[in-house]
Amino acid sequence: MADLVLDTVTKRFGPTTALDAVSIAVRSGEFVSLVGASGCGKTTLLRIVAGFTRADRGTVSVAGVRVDTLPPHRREIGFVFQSYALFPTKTVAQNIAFGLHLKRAPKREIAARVAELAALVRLDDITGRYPHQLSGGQQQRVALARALAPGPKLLLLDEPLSALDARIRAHLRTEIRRIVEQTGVTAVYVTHDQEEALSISDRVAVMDRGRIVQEDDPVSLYRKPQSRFVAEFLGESNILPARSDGNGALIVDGLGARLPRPAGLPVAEVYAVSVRPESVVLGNGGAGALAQGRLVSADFLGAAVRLRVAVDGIAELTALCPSVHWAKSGVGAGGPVSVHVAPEDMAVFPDTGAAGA
Amino acid sequence: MWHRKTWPCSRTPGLPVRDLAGHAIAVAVTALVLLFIAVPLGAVLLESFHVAGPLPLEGLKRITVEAIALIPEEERDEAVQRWVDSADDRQWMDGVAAALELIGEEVPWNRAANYDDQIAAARDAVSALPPDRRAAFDAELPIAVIMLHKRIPLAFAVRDRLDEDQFATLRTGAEERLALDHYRAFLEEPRLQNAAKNSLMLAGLACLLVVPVAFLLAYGVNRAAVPFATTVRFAALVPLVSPPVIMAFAAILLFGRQGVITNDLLDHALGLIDADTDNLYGIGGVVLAQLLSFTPPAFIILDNALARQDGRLEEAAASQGAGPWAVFRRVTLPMAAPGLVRAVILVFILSMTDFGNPLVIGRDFPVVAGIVYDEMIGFSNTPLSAALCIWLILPAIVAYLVLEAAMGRKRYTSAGDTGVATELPVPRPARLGIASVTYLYLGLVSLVYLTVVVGSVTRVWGQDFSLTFDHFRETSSVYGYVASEQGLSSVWQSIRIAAMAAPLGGILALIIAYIIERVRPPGRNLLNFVVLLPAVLPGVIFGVGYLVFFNAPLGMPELALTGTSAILVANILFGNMFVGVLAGRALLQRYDASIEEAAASLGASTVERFVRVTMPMMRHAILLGALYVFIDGLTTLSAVVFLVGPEHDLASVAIFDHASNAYYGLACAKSVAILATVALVMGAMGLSERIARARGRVLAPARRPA
Repeated sequence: MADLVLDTVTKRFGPTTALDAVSIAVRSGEFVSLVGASGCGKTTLLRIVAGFTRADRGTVSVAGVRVDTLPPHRREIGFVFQSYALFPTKTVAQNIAFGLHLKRAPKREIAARVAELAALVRLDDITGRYPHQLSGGQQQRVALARALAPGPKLLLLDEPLSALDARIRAHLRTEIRRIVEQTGVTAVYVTHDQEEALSISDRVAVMDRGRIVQEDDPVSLYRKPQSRFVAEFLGESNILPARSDGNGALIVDGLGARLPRPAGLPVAEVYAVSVRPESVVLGNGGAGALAQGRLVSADFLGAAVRLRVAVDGIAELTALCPSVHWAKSGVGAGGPVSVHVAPEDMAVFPDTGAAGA
Repeated sequence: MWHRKTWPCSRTPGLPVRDLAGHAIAVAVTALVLLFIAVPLGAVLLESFHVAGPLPLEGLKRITVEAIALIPEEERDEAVQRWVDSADDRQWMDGVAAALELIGEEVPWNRAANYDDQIAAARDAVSALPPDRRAAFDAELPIAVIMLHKRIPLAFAVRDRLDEDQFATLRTGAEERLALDHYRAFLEEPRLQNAAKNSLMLAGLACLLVVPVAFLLAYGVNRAAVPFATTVRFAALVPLVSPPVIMAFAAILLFGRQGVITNDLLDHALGLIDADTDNLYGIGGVVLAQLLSFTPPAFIILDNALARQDGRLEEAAASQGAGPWAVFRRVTLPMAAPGLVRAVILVFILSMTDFGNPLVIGRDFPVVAGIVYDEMIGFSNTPLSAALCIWLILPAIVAYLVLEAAMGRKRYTSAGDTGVATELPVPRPARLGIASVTYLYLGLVSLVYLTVVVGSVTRVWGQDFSLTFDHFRETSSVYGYVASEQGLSSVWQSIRIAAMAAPLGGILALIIAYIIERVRPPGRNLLNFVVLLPAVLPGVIFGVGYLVFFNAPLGMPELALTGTSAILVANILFGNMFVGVLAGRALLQRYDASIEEAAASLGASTVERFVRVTMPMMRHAILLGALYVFIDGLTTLSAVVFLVGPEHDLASVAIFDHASNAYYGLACAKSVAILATVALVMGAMGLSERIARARGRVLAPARRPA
């Protein structure tokens, strides 16, 4: 059953369209991420769901009930802010208890619930402290506990990790996933960090200029981008031009590869193929090589080596090779290499030009 | 000729080795600031302990003996004998009583009885003295007689051997000492107690009215709960630049005995009240005048506090299930608490130290600040005035410290993106309420200005509403007015003084900001503290301090500045310099110090860096600092009222005098002239800023790299 349904939600700020008829459905218990560059409308969308901002058009339903006419305090939606937004005058325990107090829950019940949530976010030993005495990571845990305390129907998280430094971010990311899973709450998560979105979510929706351009599970989304924008926004990609051969197959220019036309591919004049660098395998000749080229440069990155290969017919390809394999190959700059790409590692889509212009 | 200069040996500007010039200037500026701010303020404190009183007998004897010793030896005995012989019976009796006290005997008769009885009793007492005490008594008696009754001829006899103070002490028999008498007077004299009660009541009422109104204004503006929020914010600040007591005399013109609303409308036209008895004189009028005068400064504080609030906190509360009222009560209000405390303290101090409004509209409502004014201006009783000044600010300081301590336990900082306002709408009924209060307040303020403008061209308000420009003219004949303060000469004088103080203040403020932020000498905290003192201490104290100290600085009357333009310029300059310092420091903190390091590495000395690099960047801060000095110079009353001399009348003082003597036409005319000047100067300043910006001369400072 769909827990959160947005139907053609539209929002304008003056002349700019922040959201252009966005529709999405989130299943009960699902963890969905909205990802996109800053200004793509993802935070606006979240704030409309929470009720902080009003949509110009469209509806928002939670558990089958329309909520877009309700003020935020009647929606029973938990919200975690980028800036934590902890009440600085209240202790950790008082912050967590805030929503329960408003519900006039009995004191014993509140204390029990606060203890439960403090334990859930692993802060049970510092519930008497004030926010300014906590680290950023601890503050965000408190914010999460506070949002969950009243038992919301839906949890919204607006870039909750972007104010933290990289190590804490990676750790807290898995913590959030664990906590959300433990409570079973439906969660919508907004981030501009594609790695964060891919690692934490059941499903990811990529947004661009007020629209959702593609939504899918993280693996499919990464492996089968359906537009140049998604291919380039999520990770790194080699984008190669392709054309239809008129017989139900596609020819990738320069690689000379011939692909069966995927079902459901829209008809277009020009196509493009996305190949992830780690799918580009280099060798020294041998069967199944799509093309021959010359090694231009090799940048050692630690775990992997980024290789630039000049291929006849196309300008350059980037390949990513685990450094343990690279060390054994012994090819130097300028040396000849063969290029191998498995057909299932190529994603085809109509090419509407760079960044969807 | 850059290559002939020595290279800076350090990249850090302000390193002592390199920066002798900077440090020398820092020392000089600090000395200047101490002299013109800290010392006068200290002088008030010292003065408040000064008590003039009769010398005790021992002291009197000491100076008398010393003076007698100064008489040439050959004349001495004869002179002493002559003075003792010339004493009449009553003087002799006084001498006997004093001599008995000096040898440690009790005076055995009633000193309050009539003289004949006392003289007889004195004779009996002398003859009854035991022989062993008699010698000591005989030795003291001549001294006692002389010190009580022949001190003045003695003083003149040795005058050329005494300095001025010694002569004065000997002649009057009184001395100056340090004691708490003036502070005790406050607790003992019913007149002062009554005034203290009134002052506290007034300040309490002012806080109760001003702070909520200012808060509603600020809340409405920041939460877009009133239409035209930007205009409202501007309008709310306008009264900051108005002449003194304008609210008080405008209130009289509107609601007084001859007021257009009380007399002409409600009494004559509608017959609802009798304006002779139902009017706004007294505490009601003072409260109204203070409400209109003090709401703008309180608004600044609260506007600032609310604008910095993180709107996400309110949204967080809403998503937790808090309705608008709960959000306001549980989040907005507690977060605004520090600002509210500061606003309460500010209004309390402003109200306690305000003498202008109570003296103009208060009538039979004496307050302590008014008594300070009377004692200073009427009786030159500086010690009592100084002690009363201390009493005035004491309750506020105590309250501040108590509240600070209470809040200190809940110190907090708000993390993250502060200042992002929430989009949550304010409920309609609240919006209506806020808008009503806002527009009622602004309407009242507009009415005040309208009244002043109309009043300036009205012959006699309440009696003869015909049009006239006489109030602006030098040679007008206002009924029965004898003072030579008609016309606009005092306005020109004010403009002259303020125009002298403004550029000096702007540049000195920037130099101080630069010293604190960039030269960073060891004493910079002291410098910063002293510069900010006038911002928190009331003008009355600053004025009294100047009067006390500059009457005879360091005991040298030749250096006196009182009654000159110089003391007015200095008072206005140093009293308002803090704005330029704060603006300059804020701007310097935003500019990366490496700009100056770059200049230093290219060979610019401290002074060259300041003149060629810093000053051009700081144009805006200098202008703001100078503008503030200028406007306050035109409009402030509390400090300069004690400093104006006969030839140096200022418009603000003249307006106050006119208003307290009910010459409202003259007060209105000068107020209009001042308002016009301020509007003109601010307009010109705004225009020049706009032109400069259009030409790209005003650059936004580059962000400091993180």
